[in-house]
Amino acid sequence: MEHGRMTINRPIIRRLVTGLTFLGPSIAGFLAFTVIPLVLSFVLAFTNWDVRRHNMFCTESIEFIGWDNFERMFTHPAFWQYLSNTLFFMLGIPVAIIGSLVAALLLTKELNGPSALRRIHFIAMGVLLISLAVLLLTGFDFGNMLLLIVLLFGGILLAGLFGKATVYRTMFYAPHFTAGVATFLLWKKMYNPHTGPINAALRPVVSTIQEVSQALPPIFGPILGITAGMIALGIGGFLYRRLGQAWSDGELGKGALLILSVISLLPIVLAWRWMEGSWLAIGFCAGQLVLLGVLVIRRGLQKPFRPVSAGVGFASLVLPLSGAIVGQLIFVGLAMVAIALPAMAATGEMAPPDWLADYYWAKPAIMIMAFWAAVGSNNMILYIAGITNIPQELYEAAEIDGANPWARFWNVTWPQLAPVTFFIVVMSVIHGLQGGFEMARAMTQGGPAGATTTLSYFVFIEGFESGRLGYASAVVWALFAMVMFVTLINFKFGNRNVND
Amino acid sequence: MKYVLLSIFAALCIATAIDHSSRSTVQSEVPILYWVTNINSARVEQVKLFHEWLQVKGYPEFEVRLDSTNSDASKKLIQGVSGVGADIISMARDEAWLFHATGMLEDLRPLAEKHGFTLDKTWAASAPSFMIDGEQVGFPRAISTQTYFLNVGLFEKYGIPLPPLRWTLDEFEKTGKAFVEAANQGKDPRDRIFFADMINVATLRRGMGRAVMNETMTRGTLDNPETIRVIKLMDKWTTKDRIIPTQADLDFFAGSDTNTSRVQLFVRNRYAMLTGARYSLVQLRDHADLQLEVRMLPYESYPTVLMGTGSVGIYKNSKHKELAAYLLEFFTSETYNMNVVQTADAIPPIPAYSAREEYLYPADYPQEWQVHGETANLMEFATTPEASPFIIPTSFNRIESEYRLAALAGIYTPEEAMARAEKAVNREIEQNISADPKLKARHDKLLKDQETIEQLRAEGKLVPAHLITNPFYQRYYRERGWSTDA
Repeated sequence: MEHGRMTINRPIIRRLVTGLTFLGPSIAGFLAFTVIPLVLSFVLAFTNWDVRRHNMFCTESIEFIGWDNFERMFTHPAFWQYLSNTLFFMLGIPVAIIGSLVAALLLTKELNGPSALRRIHFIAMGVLLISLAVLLLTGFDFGNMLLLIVLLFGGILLAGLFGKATVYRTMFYAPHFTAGVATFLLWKKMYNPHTGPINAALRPVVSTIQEVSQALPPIFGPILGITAGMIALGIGGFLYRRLGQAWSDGELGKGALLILSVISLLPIVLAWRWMEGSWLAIGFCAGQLVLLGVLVIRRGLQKPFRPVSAGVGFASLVLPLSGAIVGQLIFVGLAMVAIALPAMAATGEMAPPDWLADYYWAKPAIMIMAFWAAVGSNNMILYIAGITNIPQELYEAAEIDGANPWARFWNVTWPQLAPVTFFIVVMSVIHGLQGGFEMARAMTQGGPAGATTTLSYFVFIEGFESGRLGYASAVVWALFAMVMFVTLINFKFGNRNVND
Repeated sequence: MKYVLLSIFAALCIATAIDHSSRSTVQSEVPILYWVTNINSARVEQVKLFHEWLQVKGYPEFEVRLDSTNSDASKKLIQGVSGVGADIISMARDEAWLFHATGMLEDLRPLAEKHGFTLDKTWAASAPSFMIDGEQVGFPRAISTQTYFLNVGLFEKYGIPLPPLRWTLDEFEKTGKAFVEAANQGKDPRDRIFFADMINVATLRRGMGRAVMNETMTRGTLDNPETIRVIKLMDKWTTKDRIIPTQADLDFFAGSDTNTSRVQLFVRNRYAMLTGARYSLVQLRDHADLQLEVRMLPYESYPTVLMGTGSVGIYKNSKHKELAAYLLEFFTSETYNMNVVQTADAIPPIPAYSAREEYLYPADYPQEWQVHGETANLMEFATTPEASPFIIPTSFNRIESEYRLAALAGIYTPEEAMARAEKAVNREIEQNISADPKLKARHDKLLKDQETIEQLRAEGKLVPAHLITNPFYQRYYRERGWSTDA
């Protein structure tokens, strides 16, 4: 600075040019392939651009049609079906996040000396041998299975002995750096109802279940169904207990408690719909309502430990709540299967599922695959990084206070991972809303009967198969609005900081 | 660091320049035309023959190159409307209609006159696949009629008499049940032998005198007793009678229902009958011990055959339209048609070649002698699938199959499914015409024609043939004596 004027000397210019030279390609790429298309697509969403009528060979001009595309979208039954498919797939997100966390917890365990290492490997070997014995007893082909398991698990254990946790971390992360389409094709082969290894493993199990079911009296089905229903209620009870505890401890605001309680009613709605008002549905729904009633009455009479604002605690409990809901739904589904079991067994034609070709199995099949991919994804890496950064003093203090491992997890690990969980939830929800295209394209073509068509695949169909680019852009922006809304909710109520 | 990055950048620039200059596209001294199509050994052979034929005829020298990487319909569409389409485009019927709607296909009438690939040269029934709105947008490269291929040995093995050349649905079901009963005694359900690999829904429906669109193709017609009956029959034959495999059974071989996997299952005696066309012989010829015969697909009351037309069009933005026309001329030549005769790639586009001795009785393949004549004879019953200008065929097919599969999965009853499907199709049509005033005007005019047709039919009078635009109903009305050209 000289007499109030800034002198730009040659080194500064040189640095500026150098900097811009390095940044230039990136900025140009960002403008050309992100910003401009983004703006254009927003404009397109309000036009009638249809490549059949508006292209270099047609003189007809593109017109602005206001909100017509959006109106059409919201009155299009297929849009709602594909949106519900997308949301259904997103039910897997909490399970996948929990899976990533469990994987990260296991992969950050310190192996305290050779004895602990040996113990772990002995346990793994024991599990392997028991699994092998079960498979042999249920009639699986001995030679192939033995060879497969011994080679696979033996190799993994051996690698673990030498490479320790790094080997397992790499293995868990493998799905993430494997090419997507190749993975999908592999899973497609695995899901083959006749020649795939999944059904090959399930077939003897299903045969055994059939034989056992045929041998037992028919009352066995309802008993099993009631048991599964009770487990589902048990999960609900655990969840409400946790909500009540959080309320008492002053970790949960009124508003958050109300929203979480309403969300917790989802299994009631779905169970009622799935079981079409059967006696089991009545029992489950009544049980769940009673549990909720107990929560409301017991905790309503009790003042919280400290007053907190309405939204507090929503984010920290929405994930366990979602996980519990998924768990409940799984057991409700099992209850339904159990009740139908005697009748199915009586036909003598029980068989493993036709995973990708069956309307009702296609979605769970895709979700299982997505779960496998998600457990060992970037989420796991982020959790590993987060766990590694938790100060050891906190654990030492907790131990001195007599906290058991479960208490240490809930009161140290889980709160300390809040920022990581927040980021993972936001990103997972965004990816969940945008996802499903590659899987639908490579594995099911959106079928059977549209069961696996997600909104992103719908955009592809409308844009590139039907040529309605204006309408496809409108769907994309509706998707963006949903992503934005959910993200804002996350930011509003999410636990972004450790001390929230 | 910046020097390292700059060095890498320079190295990449040099590598790009070397790669670009070494490409044969750049080096070629003659014009190069790209033909976007599926690649296979037959197509490679045909291109080789084409280049030889050009020399023999003394035509201008140029090169046709196959491009299979962009043969996906959506790629052809997007590249075409963006001005970077291939010079020559292979098209199925649905694609021809879609590409024509965009205006990306050249109207070939002047070139066809000049080069002699006019409509009268080929099978008249194939016309709706490449004559659209009065324009010629292509010329057939391959014609096919959908038939059942019979594994004669399998019928003999289980003591089931071969079905007649023309057969009804009742005969189909009766023979099918007898076959699966005889063939599957004491067998593990997983090793089940089926009577047929599949049955075509459109043919079943047409055999009952019903198409998926009305006479003027202004409305979808799915909510009717015939279509509902077709779904019920499909359900019965796949899940109850088990004469046709379910999707799970179809997945058996390759995890997907591809033509190749179905042929492989057929040669491994898993099906007594294979749905195919003459092109199926390309794979079946590898199995000389397989004694083959063909049968028309069964029908309720009206014998009908679904025909396929693989046509080739010229891109409007091509710089070499005149040269591309030579390829279409080549499809009318003896060289090309005899190649098709010999390779069994299709029914030759020029009808006269299907009457030749070499076509009917190929010396090297006596096991096929019953097949060739019959596949050509079926052209007598052949009509193309419907393609309405008011709904994109792929959209129609998606809606129809989604609801049909939903009915077969038990999500809806067949009645509910078809009512919903028809509503969805007509909703789509309404949306398409409301967005396009020209299309709406055309639709309104055809709707009036439709009313006239329905009125005349109700009064038992003849319907003027020119009012009917649906290729199936054109033929149906004529053969039933309901139209003026009967």
